[in-house]
Amino acid sequence: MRRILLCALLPLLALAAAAQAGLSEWYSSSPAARRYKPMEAELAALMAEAESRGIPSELILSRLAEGAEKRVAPERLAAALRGDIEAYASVLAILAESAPGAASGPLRASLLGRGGMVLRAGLPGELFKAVLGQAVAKGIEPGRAIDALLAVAAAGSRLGLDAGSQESLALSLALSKEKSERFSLLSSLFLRGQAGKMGPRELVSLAISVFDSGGGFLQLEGEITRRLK
Amino acid sequence: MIGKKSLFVACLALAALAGGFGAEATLDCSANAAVSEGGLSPFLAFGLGARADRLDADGPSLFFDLSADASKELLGSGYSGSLDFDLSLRRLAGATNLGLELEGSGLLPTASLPGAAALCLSLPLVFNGPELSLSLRPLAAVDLLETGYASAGLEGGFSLMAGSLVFKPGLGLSLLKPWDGGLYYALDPAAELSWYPGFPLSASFLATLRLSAESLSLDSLSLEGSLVASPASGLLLSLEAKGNFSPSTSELSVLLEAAFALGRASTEASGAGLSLPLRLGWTLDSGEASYSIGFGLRLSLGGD
Repeated sequence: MRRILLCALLPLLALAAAAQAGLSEWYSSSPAARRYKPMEAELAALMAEAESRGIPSELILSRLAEGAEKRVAPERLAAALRGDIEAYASVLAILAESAPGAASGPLRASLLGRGGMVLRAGLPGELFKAVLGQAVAKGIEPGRAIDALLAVAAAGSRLGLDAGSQESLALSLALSKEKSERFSLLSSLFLRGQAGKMGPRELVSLAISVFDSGGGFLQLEGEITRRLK
Repeated sequence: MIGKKSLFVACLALAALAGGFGAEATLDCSANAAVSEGGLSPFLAFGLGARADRLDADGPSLFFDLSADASKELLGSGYSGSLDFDLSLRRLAGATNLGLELEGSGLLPTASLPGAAALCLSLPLVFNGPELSLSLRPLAAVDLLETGYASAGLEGGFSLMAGSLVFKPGLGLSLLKPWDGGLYYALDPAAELSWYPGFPLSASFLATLRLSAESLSLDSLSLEGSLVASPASGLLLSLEAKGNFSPSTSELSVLLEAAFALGRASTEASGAGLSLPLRLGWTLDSGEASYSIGFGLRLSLGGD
């Protein structure tokens, strides 16, 4: 019995040790880390918690480094990292339900990282789950669906899109023929329409109509500029 | 009887098209002041933009755009007014987009401008690809006023998307018959370059040249540049620069607008937004410079 318990604990201990090693390396290599030395134990505990919940410690370490570079106050940084752990855990749970293969595959860290950005951008978890579930059911790669959500979150935050519009647009973009590397251009395209006094409803319905009829950003750009004449 | 049947069928078709329409309108009113060598000239400006569309990925889509602008000097008797509309029916068949478009534009005659009442009917045809689209547009136009003309032409061009850039070169050829006699032709080469970097910024630059062999003072060069950015949520900055050069006139203008969103309310089917635009402008018209400042209120309404 003791041997079984030990076998189960060993991988967790190894992960915790790897997380601790990453944190130690950050402290020794980053000049920005000095400010956060007094909270090393708290940060180590957060990293261990992330690992124990299946979240790769490099994601937390990356967020920690980002916050430190921005000179975020230590107590605010700890709170933000706790929020990040909860966001990544939510994404992991959604992935495990909608795309179990991706949740445990080699792309897990990348998917979690981008998924966390979606939730941090303000998209509700239910919307994330609904779009990912529908997209994956239609044969779309989870990464592509998450990139579509990220693009819509960025565009939606400027336009003030409601949840229904965000869901329809993200799904339509994920199912479109557009390359996922170009998804981020959506916010710039919408901005041009917005400056031409096109409203959020019109931009969203135009984009969905273009994507659903097999078009991509080039056709959407053509339609937006045509209506700005 | 056949006439009644046709009318009934036409009514049914219109009713079918009317279902599922979405519409948006923007109302703008602003108080402005222009300063030039002639002194200070305060004026009020009003704008109305309305759009309605019925979008269908599998069937024909219908678009209607209307914009009207008017301004009135407060100390003098100067005024201006314009009205434009665009009614467009489009259908996607495979990768080809077929359309029928009717455009109209009206300009109130003033002391310095003859005015216009023009209509243009065109048949846009677009062959879509993921990186490259080709377009062809035969058109016929008429300006109904005494100083007007009738014209027919063909426009062609392509759109190329490379990374975050979209390049659109094009060429138009038109025949023009003014009401007061003569027949002229004009070539209109144009090129537009737009940049969509992926963060809240977009930029575009358009150059259009009109070349004509006859001495109708048709030759002109127009340049347009625009930059739009949203550095913070609720703030929209736009910078527009325009230049028109012909053998007899030259005009340059730059307009900077900052629009501050005051609030937005929306339900599933409709929404309304209110913003405060602040404008700063500079114009150089045939060597005379003027500056303007304006602030106003913009109300946007939309619904399905």
